Amino acid sequence: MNKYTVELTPPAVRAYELIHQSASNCIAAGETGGPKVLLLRSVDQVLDEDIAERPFEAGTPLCAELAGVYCATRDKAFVYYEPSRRPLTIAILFISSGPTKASHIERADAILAQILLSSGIQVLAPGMTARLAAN
Amino acid sequence: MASIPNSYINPNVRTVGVSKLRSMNASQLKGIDKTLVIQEYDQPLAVLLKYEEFLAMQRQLLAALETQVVISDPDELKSILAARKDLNAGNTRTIEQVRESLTRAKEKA
Repeated sequence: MNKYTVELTPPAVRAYELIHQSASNCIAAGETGGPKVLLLRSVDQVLDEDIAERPFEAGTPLCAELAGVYCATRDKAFVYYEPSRRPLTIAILFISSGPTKASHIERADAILAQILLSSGIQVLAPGMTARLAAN
Repeated sequence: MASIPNSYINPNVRTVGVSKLRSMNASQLKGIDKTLVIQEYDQPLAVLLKYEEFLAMQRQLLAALETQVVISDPDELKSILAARKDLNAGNTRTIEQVRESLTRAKEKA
């Protein structure tokens, strides 16, 4: 018996169904160790083992307009969730396969570089920020 | 480097000389309740802060980064904001219900 009930919003249901369907097709084709199967396994582990057991330790709390939302990850699985109004219930808002797009990763690198440069940390790590700034 | 007023970030910041750092032992470091800017000849050299504060800063940085990554993907952000509206309207299904319907659909097919 899990400590928390996990419920899904419609966008999360659609994402889960898509991931489940892709993994099922791979399994039917004999690809039991393919990336789509592994993604479903990771999503299920995040839902059943992380969020259902220790939701507030398993994820990173977001901020600004996403304050109250947590993001838990395993491999390429990214699960966004927040506590429901119902007691001991966690609502899954969205599930994605993570920042796989090159532009997404480049954007994150640029943001990190910006934060480091604006905070003056480049004085402590000039090599690191030079590399980040070059990106 | 443009200097940042110590109190701008944390009113608990104190500026001390290197000799202060040399004089501190482990129990004094453990009990530190201020953030210390260590300087020599009026030149800031390093910052000493409570380990818990350092971890909190790291968490805040991570939260900002993670949030920015989501916000930079308009489709993902739109889905999350739509999901929050669904949640407020009570429009949710348990994971067990979702899995049951997937199993039923598979059996039918």
